[in-house]
Amino acid sequence: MSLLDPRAPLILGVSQYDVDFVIPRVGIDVPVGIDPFLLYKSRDSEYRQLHGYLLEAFGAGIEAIRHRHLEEAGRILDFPEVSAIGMGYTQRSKRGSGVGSYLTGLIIKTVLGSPSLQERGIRHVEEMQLLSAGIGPDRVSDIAANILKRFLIEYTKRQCVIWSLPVKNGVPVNHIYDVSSGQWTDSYEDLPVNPDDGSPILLVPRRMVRVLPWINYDDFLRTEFNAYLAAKRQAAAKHLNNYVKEQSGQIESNTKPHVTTVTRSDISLVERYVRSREQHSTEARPALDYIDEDACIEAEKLKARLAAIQPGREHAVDYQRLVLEISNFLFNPELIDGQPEVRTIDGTERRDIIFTNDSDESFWNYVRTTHDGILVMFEAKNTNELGLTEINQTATYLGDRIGRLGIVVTRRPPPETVQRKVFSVWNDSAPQRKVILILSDNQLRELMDLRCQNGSPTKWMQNHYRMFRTSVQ
Amino acid sequence: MNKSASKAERAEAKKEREDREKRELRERRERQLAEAEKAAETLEGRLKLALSAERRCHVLLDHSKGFYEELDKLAKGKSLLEVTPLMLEQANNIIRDTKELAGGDIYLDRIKQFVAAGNNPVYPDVLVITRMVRDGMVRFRKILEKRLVILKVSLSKAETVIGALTYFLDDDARDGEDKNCPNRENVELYVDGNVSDLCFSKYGNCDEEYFDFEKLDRQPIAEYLSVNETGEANGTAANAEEEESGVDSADLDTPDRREKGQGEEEDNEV
Repeated sequence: MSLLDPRAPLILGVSQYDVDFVIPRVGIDVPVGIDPFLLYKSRDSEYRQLHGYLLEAFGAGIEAIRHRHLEEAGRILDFPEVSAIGMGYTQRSKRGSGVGSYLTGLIIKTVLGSPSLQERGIRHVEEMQLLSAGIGPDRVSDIAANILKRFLIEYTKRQCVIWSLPVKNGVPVNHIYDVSSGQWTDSYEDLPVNPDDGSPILLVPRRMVRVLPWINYDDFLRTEFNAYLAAKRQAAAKHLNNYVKEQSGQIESNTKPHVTTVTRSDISLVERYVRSREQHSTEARPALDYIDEDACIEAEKLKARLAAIQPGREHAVDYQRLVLEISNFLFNPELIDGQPEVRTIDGTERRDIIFTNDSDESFWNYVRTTHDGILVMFEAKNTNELGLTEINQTATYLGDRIGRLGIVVTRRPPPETVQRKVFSVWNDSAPQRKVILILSDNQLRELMDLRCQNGSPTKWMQNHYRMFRTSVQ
Repeated sequence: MNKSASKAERAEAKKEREDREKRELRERRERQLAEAEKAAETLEGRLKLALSAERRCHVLLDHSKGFYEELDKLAKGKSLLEVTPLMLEQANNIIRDTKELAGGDIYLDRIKQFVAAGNNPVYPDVLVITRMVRDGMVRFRKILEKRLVILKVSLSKAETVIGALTYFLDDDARDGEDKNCPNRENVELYVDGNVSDLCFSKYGNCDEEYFDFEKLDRQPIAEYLSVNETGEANGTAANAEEEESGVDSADLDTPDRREKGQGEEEDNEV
């Protein structure tokens, strides 16, 4: 295995385009990190809750420092590197700088040195980058990975089932944060492992990774801190006061230690910057740069697989899985966490594929608000003749719980009777209208070609939706 | 004796036949009156609708004029900017109201309300569509004006027919008059307003015009008054008008069209 290209994927049989998680690499880290801000801004309540856990854990640490329980603080704020996620900025190997205890000391020192921080607490873990010279984006990702490890374990297990990934039973995993007790625990889990060293692999959703966190030191320096310096310079010029000049000269030395000294003493700088980043949260998008596969090659592969699947019930499962992969290829990270075969709580209904719509793209945002749902349902119908029964079934699924927009993916364009039925579903469901969009094989191919040409499948869907709405007028 | 007896029988038979014919004619006139009154009611209803549509058309044209002018100003230099939600809502209202009003115009039918779906349309698109919608409204107004004229003519005709039939059936009318040939004066007594020239004809060398019962008897009342007009027998002018307007002729009550097809003399008068 060690002879392999270090950039080769650690998980085989799936393409980075077609899955919801970041595929770790054999010999090096993927140059991204978990950005807690993407959890904070998510419409998915589970993600927002994860952000809450981060703040809770960190807040408990700060509280302990405030009460001078430094040992307890050291226990809570213990964030060793989580190499299992395979992310980081070290290009030579998969091991980072391994400064878990150093990081703990740094955080404690930073909080101790800033009474205003003790008073205010933190709104985002990423703020620590602005307050401590030793904390950078990789440390933010480490902090998040440690506290969210339980979620990552469960997510990894789910993905292994969806994609039939091999797992090893009873892999030891240590340092898992237990939200209810606030303790770090160890356990044995059924997880995929690195064939080289048998260490566990934890998969991270693509939706929560960025190259740099949205709240980051470089941006802070360029914006808020520069404005602060400009104001200081102006004050110095006005008073022509040597003392002030001397002071501003010191401040203008914008090395990180100097900057963090200022921010620790004047936390309002951090506060203002963070508020401004929150206001522009829609611009915070997950990273895609790390995907180095060729989209056109992937599109051709998917098209070939689509052509190879014969219509009919016996190939329905293969078709459903392929639709999931194609949908990921086209719409991830706008539509995330695609799950096949989702049953309702009472088990009476089963939806083929459910995506979470956590997109900031205007169309998906519109769908979320206009059609009442954070979920988007895809029904994969491996038939040449889509019938009224399938449309009726899809219409029944749509509603309060799942939202009112569903997409039926099928092999051929629907006959006119089906098209009329789709219109009548719209007309009969007023005032909370239900929309059923139909995608045929040809349209899927068109969308994949578009993706290959770096076009926007979301824009295509927007037009498809508009055509439906204008036809039904 | 036999001769005189048979003469008396013949006279009696003749009288009986005349009485029967009179009775039958009266019954026919009564039926025609009932039909004419029903037709007049229908025409009145249509006239009211057309007048209401004309008012709405006028208001909508006025409203959209201001909107179009302001949009035109705003659109300058904003070719790639999306319109505001308020502008979009107003534009969609105008499109919807116009389509409701001027249904049947194939060009208007092709125009649909904008569906934002996350991104509002850009200024030039809304401007062009608003202009097209206004053009459709202007076309509709022209058709409507013609239709109003035709409906008024038909209604006047219906009222004249009712007047003539009422005169015929009125037992209090002066004796000795030939009720089968009422002149203009006779009919005017039974009509509020002016009588329609289209119902009168001259006979022989006489200068005076008489109500033309013969023509009335040749066709059912509804047909005579063009109430059931379907537009199937239209001439080229009507088709040309349709092509120009995009409005389906079936929507129009145009007695002149059908009568042109039949080659009636009075067509020129209409």
